[in-house]
Amino acid sequence: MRRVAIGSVIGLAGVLFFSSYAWSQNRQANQPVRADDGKTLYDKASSTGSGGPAPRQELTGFWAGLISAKLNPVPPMTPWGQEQFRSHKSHSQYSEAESNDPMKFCDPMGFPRDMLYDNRGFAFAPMPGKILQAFQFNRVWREIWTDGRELPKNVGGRSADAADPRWYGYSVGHWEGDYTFVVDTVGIDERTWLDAVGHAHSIDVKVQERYTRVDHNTLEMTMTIDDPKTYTKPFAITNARFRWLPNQDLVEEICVPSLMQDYLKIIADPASDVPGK
Amino acid sequence: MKSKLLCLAFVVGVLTFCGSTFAHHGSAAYSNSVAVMKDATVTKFTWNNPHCIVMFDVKDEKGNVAHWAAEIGSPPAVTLLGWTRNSLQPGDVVTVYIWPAKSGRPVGRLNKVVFPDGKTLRDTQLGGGEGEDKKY
Repeated sequence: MRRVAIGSVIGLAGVLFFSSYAWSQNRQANQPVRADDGKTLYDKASSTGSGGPAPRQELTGFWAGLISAKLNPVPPMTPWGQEQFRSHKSHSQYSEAESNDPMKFCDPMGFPRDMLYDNRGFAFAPMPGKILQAFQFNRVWREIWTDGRELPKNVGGRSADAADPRWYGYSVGHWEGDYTFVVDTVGIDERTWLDAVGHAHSIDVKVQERYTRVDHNTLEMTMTIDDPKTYTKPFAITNARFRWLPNQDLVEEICVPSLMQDYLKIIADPASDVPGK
Repeated sequence: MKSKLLCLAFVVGVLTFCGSTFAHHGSAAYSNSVAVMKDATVTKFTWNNPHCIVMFDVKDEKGNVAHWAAEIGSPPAVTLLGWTRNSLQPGDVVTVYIWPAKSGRPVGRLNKVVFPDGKTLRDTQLGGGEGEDKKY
């Protein structure tokens, strides 16, 4: 009996030692994560001062943001919202191989996730009757109509004239005073996630962004989500700040499907030891 | 004999305590403790989205070579930390600090590499708590 006990203890010690031998330094838990050590483009642009007063009704140019916006908690979900959320396997909970995050396939993040996650920055570029918003990540863009048109109704509905859902939705914008630009968006494809955690939205979601140019170099944005099918009440998902990028040059960063497959094959699948989906 | 048992139990206790510190994972697939791999020989360095990848060989005490692959952030992210597409060349011998995969396969998330002259290139991940996002 005693031999068995000693053997068990030795065996357990061996297993634990073997599993631990290589570790010499523990990851610090609950440390705030700063992905690039305070050296984001946003941080660099934060030392440039106000740049003077904000020009009137003018947003044109490149704006640097955080890598990902700081998100507020979502309100209680409806049963439908919970069901959708449970079906979204984010890589914060699952390994990359097990995750079904659309990003894993380089599928479109869509709007508003491209404003909320892996954003780093965007540009506003005026065109006749609209403003384009061009995003650093994946070099995608959306159009915000400013010609007074109304948003489409019943997007994705069964009627013959119902507009198709879009990854980036349908957006219209207008100025409230000289410094606040308000953008309303509908018709967003339900396949997009709101955030990296996998919170969902329905085709009925209404998103409003309010951009306020505080001074020449500072742009503040509040985004609200109104989606009664998914959430029990409207909520402000983020209050973000962007800074005028001095050299007006955003780097290229594109999700390339073939390179993503390489990454999954070399790193992510072995890391979780299950075949990719 | 009793003292030997107590000694073994103490060893197990210490190792169990060490082990418990690995349980707080931010990234689902990786351990939360850094392994140090000295004399790692770089075999390939890819400069791609979504993650750059460092491939390297490490010999164990018996001379067996393990082929490792470690991810770091995307080029825009690690550029801000001093990396370039030419930071690592095949044949470079470095010390690798890595969060290995819990699966036991020779892959992981790089913490940093240290060159023989002490020059250090670190990744975007500083460690963190639950919900940490490694997609940078």
